[in-house]
Amino acid sequence: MKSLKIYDQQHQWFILAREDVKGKSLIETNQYMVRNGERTLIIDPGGVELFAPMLSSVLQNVPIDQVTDLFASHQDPDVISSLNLWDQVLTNAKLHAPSIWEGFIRHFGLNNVEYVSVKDDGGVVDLGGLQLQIIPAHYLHSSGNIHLYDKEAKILFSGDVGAALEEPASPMYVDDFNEHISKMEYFHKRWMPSNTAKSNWIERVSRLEIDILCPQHGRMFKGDDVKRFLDWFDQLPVGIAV
Amino acid sequence: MSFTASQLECGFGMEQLDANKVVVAASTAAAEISNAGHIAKQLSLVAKNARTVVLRAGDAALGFKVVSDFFVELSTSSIFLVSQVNIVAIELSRGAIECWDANRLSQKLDDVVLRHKEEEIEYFSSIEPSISKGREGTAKLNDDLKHQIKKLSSLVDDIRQQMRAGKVISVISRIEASRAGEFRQALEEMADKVEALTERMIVHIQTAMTQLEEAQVNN
Repeated sequence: MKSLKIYDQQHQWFILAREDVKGKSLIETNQYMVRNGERTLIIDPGGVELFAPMLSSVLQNVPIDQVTDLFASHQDPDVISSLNLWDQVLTNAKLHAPSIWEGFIRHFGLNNVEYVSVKDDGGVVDLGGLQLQIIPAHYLHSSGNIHLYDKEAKILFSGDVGAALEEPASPMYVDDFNEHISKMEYFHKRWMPSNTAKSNWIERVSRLEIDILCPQHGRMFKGDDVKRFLDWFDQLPVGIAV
Repeated sequence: MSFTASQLECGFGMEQLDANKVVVAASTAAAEISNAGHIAKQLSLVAKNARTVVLRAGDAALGFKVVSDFFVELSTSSIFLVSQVNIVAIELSRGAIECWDANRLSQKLDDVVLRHKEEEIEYFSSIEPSISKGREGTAKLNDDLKHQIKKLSSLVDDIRQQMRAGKVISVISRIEASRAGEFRQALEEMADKVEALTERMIVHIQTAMTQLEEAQVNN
């Protein structure tokens, strides 16, 4: 698994991704980590199959006792099915996840980590004084879905929004937006169910200052590509399966 | 025969139970014993009917009275044992799943150990207490599981012994039925039913025992 620091000031952001799990037909996922002093947050920690490479990558950067927070954008297995394993190695951690999924996510196995229910209107993750804003993104794609915005770093973790289906060896950032469209078009049309939810999200997110948009699959968008993505997504009809 | 890194490094490779096998064995044993329990309820009805016939027959069926009393007691006691088996089987399944979870974590942590050997992980030492704790926990759960399997096997064996005795008594009951004059046919039919029911129970119990014995055999 590759680990890349994407923001490095008073606090740091990392992307942990591009693990090639051969022969298992797993969707490729991006995990993110925010470190602020002795507090570390793992965003969408991933599935069971990724636990060992993820833990190794985390330990390359921080000791385990400094992993204090987990964040799950929604309930899908590629997002959080490793929860039971994290639960056994983290001694004092909280999981920030949508309130409507609490009863479901607990089925993955949760004995030690504290579940912090995020209400439908969002909230804040306080990571040792660093305020990370929880942005509601319901129906994009999950009915209870949340994103995370770091005002200081100008980074938005956007869950499945901005996701692309591509090979594990792909670059970390979009380098040619027009060429990238073909990798994300079907995903957004098919996985995103609501045009109303999409427009509402774009309207709110467009007011934020975003340098890097970080999806859970595929490449990150930076600089002008962030706006290019929002404009492209805005005109895209979604929910095509009905 | 092959072992995962966690089995070898936990130091109890040959002694370790296959948790997957135990979950299946416990559930199968519980289902088989539950089937035997349904038959025990039918046996109870047949034995109670026999007791009614015996009361009507009076002195002509005195010998059969002892037999019918025995089968009423046998079915009552079997029904109780079946409920105990179900409780222990559920505990065993839970224990096996806990053990399976612990094994899974151990295997993932072994993978981290291997990755650390290939390329040094800076904060590897911070996870070492979890690795040790995981291995100790797995070993303890494994011991608990063995203890629970023995307990369950012992209960199932108690039922098996009872049913064997029941089968012997069902043969004797036919002799007693033959001395019951006009009630002979009714009591012989009941003796046949009792024998058939005990035989069916023995089949279920034997399957349960086989499952539990196989769960104790290492990979």
